[in-house]
Amino acid sequence: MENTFTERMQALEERELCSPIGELNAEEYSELLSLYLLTNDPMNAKLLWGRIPTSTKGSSMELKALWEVGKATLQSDQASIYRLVNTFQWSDCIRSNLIKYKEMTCKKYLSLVSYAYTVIEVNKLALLLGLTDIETIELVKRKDWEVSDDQVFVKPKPISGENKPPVDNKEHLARLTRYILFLET
Amino acid sequence: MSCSVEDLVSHITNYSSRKEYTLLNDFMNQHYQLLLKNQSLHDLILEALNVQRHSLGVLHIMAMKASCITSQSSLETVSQLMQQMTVFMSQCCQDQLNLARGCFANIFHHITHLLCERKIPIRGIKLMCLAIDTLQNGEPSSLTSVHADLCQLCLAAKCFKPALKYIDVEISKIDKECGMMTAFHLLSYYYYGGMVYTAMKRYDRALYFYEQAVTCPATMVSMIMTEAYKKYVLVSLILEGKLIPLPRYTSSVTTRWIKNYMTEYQELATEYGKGSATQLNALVSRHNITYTQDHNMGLVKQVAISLDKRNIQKLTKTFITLSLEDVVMRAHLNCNIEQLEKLLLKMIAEKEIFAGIDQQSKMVKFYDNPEQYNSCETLESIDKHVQNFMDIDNKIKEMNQAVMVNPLYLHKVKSSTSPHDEEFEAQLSQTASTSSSSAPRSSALLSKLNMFNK
Repeated sequence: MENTFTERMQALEERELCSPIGELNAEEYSELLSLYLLTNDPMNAKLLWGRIPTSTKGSSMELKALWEVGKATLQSDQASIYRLVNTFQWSDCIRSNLIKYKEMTCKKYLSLVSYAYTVIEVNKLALLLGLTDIETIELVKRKDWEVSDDQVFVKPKPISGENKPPVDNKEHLARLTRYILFLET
Repeated sequence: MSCSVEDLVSHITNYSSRKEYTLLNDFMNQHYQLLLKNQSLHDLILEALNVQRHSLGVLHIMAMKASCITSQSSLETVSQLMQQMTVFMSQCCQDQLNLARGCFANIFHHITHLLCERKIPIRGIKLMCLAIDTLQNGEPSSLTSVHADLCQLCLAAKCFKPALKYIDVEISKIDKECGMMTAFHLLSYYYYGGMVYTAMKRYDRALYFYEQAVTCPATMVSMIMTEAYKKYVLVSLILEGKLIPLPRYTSSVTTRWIKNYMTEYQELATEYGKGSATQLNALVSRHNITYTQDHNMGLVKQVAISLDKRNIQKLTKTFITLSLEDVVMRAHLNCNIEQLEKLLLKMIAEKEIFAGIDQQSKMVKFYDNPEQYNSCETLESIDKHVQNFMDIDNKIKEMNQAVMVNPLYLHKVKSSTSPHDEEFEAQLSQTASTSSSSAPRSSALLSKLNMFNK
């Protein structure tokens, strides 16, 4: 899935550089901006916004709204990210990208909170995850996190990261052989 | 010589058919001024020539055509030139191009200047990439003068990905471009490249590039070096928390200049070292005009933010647990508890500190780095570094081989020692042993030695 986004992003970047006037249309700019957010590249999203012509910015409400999401990402304003993604009427392509981005942000902050906080307020966690307090409590109970009796505080437990498949033994041996050959010769 | 289309075309075709490209090059250079004045003939001559067979002639005419385009020329003229150069690069003969590399590169310097003037730099990025590929001709580690143009256009257009592809490659060869590659192009490459890395927040590479610009051998200090030094100071503070001293091989004239004229930046580094954010901000206000005129205010603000982060990092070495209020007080931060929490969360996410925040008791607990260096990621990182070292070692071996069989080197070795000298024989045996893996090269060396001995 990530490869598809990267390929589409590269295709749009190439199109921008190869176009006679060095510009894309508003829909293509919106798609590229959403892909930068989705691939966790807010820096390039900011640069893209800087080079979009003023006339194109003014003509597309969706582009402006998408930039507000980008700005919120750069300022680590998670509450605004979720609010903007949920409230604006996005086009189909952008909506699917932003829904994935919202899920990705939620997962990222859940993982971050698991090791960055020993105790966190439920309402603050809800803001970080873009959920209501009740949904947040249900989610953390499923993760086996401890909830205080008054349901105000939560004690996170570290979430084990996705284990990458171990290196193949043959490949490992080949690698070590290459090192030894290099050091010996 | 009469300046008619037929005469010129016949000269070019005759030289090209006899493959006397050096003579053709001299001919075109000698009649440059005359041809430059007759702008109306350029398009007629180009129509009569074939790009593949008469690449050198076409290149010279294109160079003259480019020189005639000024700030007052229309945008269509510039676009037409760019299209013609794209077609030229796709069809030209590389051997002919090699005789006028400087002339070829000059066209792109001029195009860069025209596009930047018209504030449409993005339109030239793809063309510069093609030009670099053409000049490099399969050697990606060769530096050309067009690299600086590409970086300049990318900076002006705020589109850095095309430049990263070229500046991420380590340079091991500098293309002389028939003597037209100058220190200006080299310094510009490292300065603009450093700015690209700074914008992408890859401060380690940016520091390296600025250092290369500042430590370029010099008998006089250039403006590029002074601007590079200013950014070197700021990036050094952001990355390392201190001003890294310049290497010993920096020119003495540069070192003296820095001591006498870079006082605002030296003071900033000194104040940063003291650790007080208040004093630092006071100094920044005092020298506000200087930093703004140098277009370095953004970086200076990042220096101030990095000082706050360093002060927090210092606390992790002294305390295991602290209240959030104490953190604000001891790190001399100018923010409230909520802003501090946000900053701490960001630092934890970026692995700048390892800590756990307790919102109930408003405390933060600092941990040691949990990295055990026993994961697959560590293995991949080590593999990547070792592969890098192996590639560099191979490259150095190749460069060593090339020097060993260079006639100038052999002449110098022979003239500094006598043939029966023990040292010379030791050198010879060393040469033979290092080049033992490449028999053709050692036999070339021995045959050259035989030639000298005769």
